[in-house]
Amino acid sequence: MRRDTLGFVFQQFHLLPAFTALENVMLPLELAGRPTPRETAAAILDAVGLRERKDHYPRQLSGGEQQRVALARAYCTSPPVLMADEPTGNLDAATATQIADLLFALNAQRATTLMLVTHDEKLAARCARRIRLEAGRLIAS
Amino acid sequence: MNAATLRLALRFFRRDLRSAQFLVIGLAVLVAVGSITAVGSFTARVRLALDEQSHALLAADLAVLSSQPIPDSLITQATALGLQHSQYLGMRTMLAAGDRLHLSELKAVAAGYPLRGALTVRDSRAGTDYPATTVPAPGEAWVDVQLPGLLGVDIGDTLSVGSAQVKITKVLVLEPDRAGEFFAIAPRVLVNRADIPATGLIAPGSRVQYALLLAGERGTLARFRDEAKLDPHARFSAPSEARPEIRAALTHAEQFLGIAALTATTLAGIAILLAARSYASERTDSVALLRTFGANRIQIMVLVLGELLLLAVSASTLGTLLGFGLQEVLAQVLRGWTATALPAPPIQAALRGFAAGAVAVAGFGLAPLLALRQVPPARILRQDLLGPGVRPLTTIIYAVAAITLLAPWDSGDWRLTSWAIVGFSGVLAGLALSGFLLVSLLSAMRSQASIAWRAGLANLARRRVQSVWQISALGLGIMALLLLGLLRTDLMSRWQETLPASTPDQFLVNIQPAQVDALQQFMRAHQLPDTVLYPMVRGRLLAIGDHRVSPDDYDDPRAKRLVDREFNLSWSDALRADNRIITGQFWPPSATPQFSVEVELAKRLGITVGDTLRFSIADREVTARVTSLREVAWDSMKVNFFVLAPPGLLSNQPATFITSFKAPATQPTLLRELVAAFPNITVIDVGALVTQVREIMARVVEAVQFVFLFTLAAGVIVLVAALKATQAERLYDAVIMKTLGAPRRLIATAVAVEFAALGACAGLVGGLGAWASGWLIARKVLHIAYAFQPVVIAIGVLAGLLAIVAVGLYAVLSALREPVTSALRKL
Repeated sequence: MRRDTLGFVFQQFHLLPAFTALENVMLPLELAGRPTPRETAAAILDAVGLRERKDHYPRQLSGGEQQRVALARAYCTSPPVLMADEPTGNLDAATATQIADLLFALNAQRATTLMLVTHDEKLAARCARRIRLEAGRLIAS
Repeated sequence: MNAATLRLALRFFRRDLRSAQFLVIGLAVLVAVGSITAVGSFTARVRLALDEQSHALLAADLAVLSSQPIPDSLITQATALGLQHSQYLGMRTMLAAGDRLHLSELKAVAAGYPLRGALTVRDSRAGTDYPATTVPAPGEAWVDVQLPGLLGVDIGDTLSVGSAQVKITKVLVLEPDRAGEFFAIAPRVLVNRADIPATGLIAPGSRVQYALLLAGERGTLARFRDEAKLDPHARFSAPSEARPEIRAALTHAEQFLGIAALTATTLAGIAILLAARSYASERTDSVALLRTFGANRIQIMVLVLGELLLLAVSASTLGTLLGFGLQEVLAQVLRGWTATALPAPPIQAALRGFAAGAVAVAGFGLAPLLALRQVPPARILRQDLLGPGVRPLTTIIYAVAAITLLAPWDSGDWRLTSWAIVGFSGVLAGLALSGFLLVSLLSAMRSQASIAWRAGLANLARRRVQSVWQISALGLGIMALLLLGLLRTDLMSRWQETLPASTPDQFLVNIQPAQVDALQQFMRAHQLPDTVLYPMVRGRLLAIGDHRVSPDDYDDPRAKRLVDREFNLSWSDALRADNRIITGQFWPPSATPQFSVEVELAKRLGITVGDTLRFSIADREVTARVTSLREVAWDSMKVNFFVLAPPGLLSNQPATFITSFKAPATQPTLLRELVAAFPNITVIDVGALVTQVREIMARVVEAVQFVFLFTLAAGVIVLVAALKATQAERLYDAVIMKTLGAPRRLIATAVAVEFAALGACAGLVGGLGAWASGWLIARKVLHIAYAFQPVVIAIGVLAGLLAIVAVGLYAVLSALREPVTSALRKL
C-alpha cells in the first residue's frame, strides 16, 4: 500500500546514507517495479536542480539539498497522496521558501494530494485546506 | 584536571551504563577478564596437576642421588627447613630361592616412601591392583610380578637377599619413580631399609645408589638446593629431569594449553576493540557538544579515560569473579574424568586475570577512545567532520603490544608464544589488507546488481573502514577457532599417534649372540615375526679428536653423567626409517672407519661431523670419524642408540643383543614362556611408562577441549560486538526502506547480502590465516609433519557466512516486526 499510494517527506530528511542521491531516488521506483528507474530518477533530480549533485552521498549535501533529494524521492512515483511532516522545519528561511516552492510546484505538476503538517503559518497559508491542532485538540478547520 | 571534571566523568559513567554500546564494551571486558581468569586459573590447575604427576615420577619434589651414603648433615638440614624426607638405596643383587638364583634390582625404602605419587600393589599374582599406604615391613618383600615365576616361588614364600631372609607378601605393580629408572635391567624387589644391614650386601666396592627424597614448599626446596653442599658423588634430581619421554609430553602439554589461552585472550581483545570503536563513534557528537561548551582536549581526555577506567575496574571485578566461578565448574566437571583431583587454583591466576583486564582495555580500547580528543567543535554543525580518526596502524600496534603483554610467556615454550604473536599480528595486517581489497571489489560490482543486492553491497562499501575492521576481527576469530579446532583434533591426534597402540612395552636385553636365531624363531612362533634384534656393545668415550674427555669439561650435569658412564653402541648397514640424518651423510663410501652420532648427544658433548671419537670397548680402543648426526624419536619407545657404526667396525667386539616389542594381550603366558626358554635374558616391562605418557596426553587433550569452549565463547562475543557496532545504522536503513514500501523480504535479502559478503570475506581470510599459521606451528614449533586440508578454508567461509547471516538477520528482523510509525519515532 505504502509503496504504490503514499509518498513521505520528513523533517529529518531520512535519506539512506549508503546510497547516492540518485540511488536514493531510484529506490521507490525500483520497489514499485517501474521501468527505467535510473533515467526517471535522474530526470526528477534535474527538475529539483540537483543535476550536478546526483552522485553525491547525503552527508556531502547541505540540508536544503538533502530535502530536495527527499522531495524528488517522494514525488518520483507520482503517488496519489504525499505526506509531509514539517518538511521545512530543519531549514533556514531562504532554503525553506525554496523547498516550499518546489513542494507546491511538484504537487501541482504531478496532481498529488499533499498532506502537510507544519508549525510554519506562512507555509500553512499556501495549502488549500487547513486543520489547526492545539495540544492534540482540533481548534479550527 | 580537576574535581569537577572527575565528577562529570562519574556522572557520564552512570548515564552511559544505560547506553548499549558502553555496555557492550563492559561485556567484552567482562568476557575477556572472565575467560583470561578462567583459562588462566584452569590451566594453572592443570599445570599443577601435571607438575604433581611429574613429581610422582620422582616420588618426590627433589631428590639427592649419590653413590655414597647420604651424609647426616643433609638430613639435619632438611629437617631444620621443615622438609619431608625419606631415604632409599638401590642396588643390583642376586636373589636366591632354594637352588634357583636370579638377578634383581633391590630397592630398600623407609617409611614415607614415596613422598609423591603412590605404590600400586596386589595381594596375589592375579589379584586386583590397589594403592599401598605403607612400605614393606622389616622382613617383608614386595616383588615384580614376573619374579616369583623366575624363582619358582609364590606369595608367602621366603627369599634370600644376601644373608637375610625375607618373606614375599605382595606383588609390586607400579612404583611412581619406576619410569625414572628406565634401564633397570632386572625385576624389582622392594624391601625395608632396616633389613639392609642384616643382608651384608653393603661392602666396600659394592655399587649402591643412595637417594634422599625431599618434599615441601618450592621456596624451601630452592633454599635447600642453594645451601646444601653436595660431595662430588652426589647430584640433585628435580622433576623436570624426568625421562625424556615424559619431559617431551609435558612440554607439548604446556604448548597446547598456552596457545589455547592466547587464542581466547586475543579474541576477547578484538571484541573490546570493536565495541570501543563503535562506542567512540557514538560519543563523537556529545564530545563535540562539550567542545562547543569550552571543554579543552585535556578535559575531554579525563572524561573519556575516567569513564573507561571506571568501566574497566567494575567489569574486571565482575569478570574475575565470573572466571573463577566458571573454572571451578569446569574443574568439577573434569574431576570425574581424571584419576586425581585437581589442585586448588592459585590466587595469582585471579590477580593476573584482573591485571589482564586493564591491559586488554588499554591495548584494545584506548586507541579509538583517545581519538575522541581530536573531535572538532564544528562537528556539531557539520556531520561530515569526523576529525582525523584512528589510523589502522596505530590500532594494530596497540593491539599487538597488548597481545604481547597478555601472552603466556611463562608457560611452555617461548618460541610458540612468539610464533603465535607473529602469526596473529601478521594475520591481522593481512586480514585488513585483504578485507580492504574484497570490499573494494564488492563495491565495484554494485551498479550491476539488483536492488536488494545493491543495498547490501552499498552498505558494505559505505562503512568501508568499519567493514574492513569487521572482516579482520571476524576473520581473526574464525582463524583462531579453526586453528584451535585443528590443534585440538589434527595436531593433538598427530601427537598421540607418536605413541600408537603398537608402541613396544617390553624390552629384552642381555641376549647372547648364540641365542639370536633361537629367539627369532621363538618370536615367529608367537606371531611376533617383525621383532628385530639389535647388536649392542658398551663403550666409554675416551676422546673427541685429540682431547681426552672428562666430566669436568662440562657444566651440564647430563653431559657430565654421559661421559662418566658407558654408552650403548651398535652397528647397522642401513638407516632406519624412524631415524633422520640432520647433518652429514649416512655411511659415505670411504675406507676410513666411521660413526653416526645422535644429534642431541652431539650437541651436549660438543661433537660435530668430522670429529674423531675414541671409545674404550672391553679392553680395546676403537677410533673412527663422525660422518653424520642423526635425529632419533626417543618417545617412540623403540630401541635406539647414541652411536652407530657400519657393520665390521664393532662386530668383532663382545656384543649382546637387544630388542623391544609389544606384548600381545592375547598371549598372557608369552613372557613366562620366554623367560623359561631363555633364562639369562632380562625382560624390562615399560608398559607403566607408556601408560603414564599416554595419561598425560589424554589429560591435555581434555584440558584443551575445555579451553576451546572459552575460545568459542569469546568468538561469539566478537561476533556480537561486530554486529552490534553497526546495528543502529542497519535498523535506520531498514526502517526507511520499510517506510518507502519495501517488503520485508527485500530488506531481509539486503541485510543477508551484506552479512553474507562480510561473513564469506571473513571466512576466506580466516581460513587462509589458519592454513598459514597451522603450518607454521606444526613445522616450526611442534616439529611434526602436517598436511593442511584445503577443506578447512571452505569450512571457514561457510561457518562465517552462516553464523553472521543468522545472527545479523535475527537482530535486524526482530526490530522490523514493530509498526512503521513506532519504528520511525525511534530514529
